[in-house]
Amino acid sequence: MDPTQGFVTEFAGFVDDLTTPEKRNIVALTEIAREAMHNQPQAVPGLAQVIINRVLHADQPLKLPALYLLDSISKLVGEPYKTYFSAALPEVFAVAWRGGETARPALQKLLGTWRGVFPDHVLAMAQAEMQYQDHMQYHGPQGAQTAPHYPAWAAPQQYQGAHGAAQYAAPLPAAAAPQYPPVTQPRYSHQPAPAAQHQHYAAPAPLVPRYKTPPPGMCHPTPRPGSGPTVPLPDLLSSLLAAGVLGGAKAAGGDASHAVHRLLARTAETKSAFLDVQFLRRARRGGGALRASRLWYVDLDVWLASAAGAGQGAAAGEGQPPQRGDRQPDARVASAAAQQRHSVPVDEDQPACALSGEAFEQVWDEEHQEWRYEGAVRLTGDQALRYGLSPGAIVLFSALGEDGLDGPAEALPATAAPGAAAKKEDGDEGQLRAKEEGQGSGTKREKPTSTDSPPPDIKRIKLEG
Amino acid sequence: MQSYVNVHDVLEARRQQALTEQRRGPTTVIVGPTDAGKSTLCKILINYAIRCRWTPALVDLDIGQGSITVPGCIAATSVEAPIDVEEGFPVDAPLVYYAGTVAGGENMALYQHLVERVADALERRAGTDAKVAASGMMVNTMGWIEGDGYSLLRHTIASLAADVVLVVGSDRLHSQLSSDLATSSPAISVVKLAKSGGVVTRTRELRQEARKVRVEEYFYGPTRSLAPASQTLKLEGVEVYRVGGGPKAPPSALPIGATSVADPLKLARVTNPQELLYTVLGVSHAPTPDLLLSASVAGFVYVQDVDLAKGSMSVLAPRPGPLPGSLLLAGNFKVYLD
Repeated sequence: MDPTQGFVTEFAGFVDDLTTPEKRNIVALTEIAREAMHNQPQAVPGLAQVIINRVLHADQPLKLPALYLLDSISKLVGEPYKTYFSAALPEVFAVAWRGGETARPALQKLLGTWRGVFPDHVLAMAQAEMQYQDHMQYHGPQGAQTAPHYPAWAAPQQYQGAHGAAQYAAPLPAAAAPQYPPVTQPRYSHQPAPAAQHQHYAAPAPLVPRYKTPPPGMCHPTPRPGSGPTVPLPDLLSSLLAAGVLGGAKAAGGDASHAVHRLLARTAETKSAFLDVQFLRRARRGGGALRASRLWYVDLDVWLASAAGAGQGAAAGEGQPPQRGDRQPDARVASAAAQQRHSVPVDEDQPACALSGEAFEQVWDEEHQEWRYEGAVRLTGDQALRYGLSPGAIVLFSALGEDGLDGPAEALPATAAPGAAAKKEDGDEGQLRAKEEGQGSGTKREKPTSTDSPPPDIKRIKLEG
Repeated sequence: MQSYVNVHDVLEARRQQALTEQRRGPTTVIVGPTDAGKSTLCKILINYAIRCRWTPALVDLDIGQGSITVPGCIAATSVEAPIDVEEGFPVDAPLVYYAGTVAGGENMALYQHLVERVADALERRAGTDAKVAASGMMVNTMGWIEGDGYSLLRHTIASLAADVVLVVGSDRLHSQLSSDLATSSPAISVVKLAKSGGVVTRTRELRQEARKVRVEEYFYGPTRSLAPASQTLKLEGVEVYRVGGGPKAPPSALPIGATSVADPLKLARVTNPQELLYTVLGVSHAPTPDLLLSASVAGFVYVQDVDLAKGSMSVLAPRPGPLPGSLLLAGNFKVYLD
């Protein structure tokens, strides 16, 4: 016996001793498996097979500890064991699931922890197997669709235990005939075929066949009273698979999970953009000192215009934030865009235009991630001097007139300073209003273009207060 | 849930197809009894669509328990971002028509008229942009599915030109609709879905409470972060109209065989402002009274007090400033805000 074989046999002995799901033993065996991977890599397939066989063939109460060992090795050691396990996993799981009600909660839990450990399609198959079993259980066996109590891969000695050994020989190679009961006592029908059986029954051939030969796919085991599990028929499972009964369940499960996968894949693409939008929306809300108010709803024309914009935004695939509030008709958008070119960060010391005294409108700027005065410019030294202001003063671009930043030839010292001082108070309130509007809408509806706008604003503020 | 994902998968395929063929996307009407999870299903499917970069329209025809704005309304809105768990539907720019009643059966003609208005608006919306058109729409309906409620459903399905009807939690409605629609419009797929897990049946009181909450949410926001404003309106400055011409005489009070012939769409000026106390008034976009039924509303005000001596009433408005219109639509249900 070569050393690898010896090691595997020894390991099998340990696994056979594993009769309770005791953590210490499982951890110890896991460590043995881990070391074997390094010291005796050629033994790895053998070890994996030992565990798989144990789950498949052990008595019901002993399956679970072995399954836990499989779970432990898969998670703690991982490859290459995982590869060997995943090939057999649906079968292993199905056998364990069929074993009895008591272990099912534990199995379900175990299956839940395997997501990410084993490939999804393997888990889906295990799941389908499980659902199929449940289905059979609740809907009862129905003729040909009865699942065999033991699957094709179960070892022959299992059958022996169930039916009394006398009629059966000890475990035999698959082709050997005595797996089947004597012809004179047909206890069940079975599909004919494989050549081996024909040879076996060659002798009584001249007689009338003593056993019924059902048409393919229609073989039903005849239950014997009090005999417990139905007689296993290895070919039954394959005939079910061929008939699509088992495969059907898997296919249905697979289809649904495809729909889920498609959705998840799309979600993964768009999720971050939507999270950004949500973040910005919250930031915008947190940025305003005052509470916002709900806007009046738009009328049909504006609503239709907004729908068109929404489609284009989405069509471009941008993660652009939904525009809060009503969208502007084109002319307003254009004028707003013109003014947006001039904007400066909010300066709490200068709430109003140094030239006209108008309050600045604050808007949240997506690009700069800050509150900015809209349509305003900060004058540099020379520019400020031309208007008779101190450098750094913030003015409305519209207040600069047609001359723009280059300034008029003559300064306006007399009006500028007192104007600013007199309007300071209004400006404060106007600013709050501006803040509130900026928060509410994000886009600007309009900008006060003349100094007569403050009075209505003040009234509105007072109403609100 | 698995069936919901499958429904989405089919709708998604239809949207893709509609986009390539430059057609309208699927119009999905969700029907079912009350408390079957219609709005939940609606939210789920809308969110799935948004995740796939569509901008579907949400149409809420449930005038008793609408999820877009105050009760008593029919509303539509484009949804561009996933529906937030806390904040509900994004309701910044919906198109809202005010019926002023929370029972569809009270004025069926008005309900049908408003559904047609919304259908018309949606038709025009679909014409604005190919992507918007292909996104389709999701329509939530009333939970009233028997008798006249069923005919209202049929009217809704017809006027919105539905492609898919999802029946939630009612086998009878499903068989009724499938057999009726099979003859009249065989192109519509009628799909039966199980109730959402976790739905509970609400009592009448709970529904009333929910209406009050909806009104509060309109003014204060779902997280009470909005600031409404109390205002005093001069009675001569506004015109309040009621649809349907006031209370109808019950059939038992009429001569045998006679029926009430009042025009259900007749507009009548409210002469006694006292009856408006604690009701919700819709502020219409209509420029003239005769257009009141065809125009959407700009919002709502809640009447807190009526002072006949001074000729004024004090209302709660969503924001400070003058109302966007002076034509108001009266509602016939009372809400008692704190």
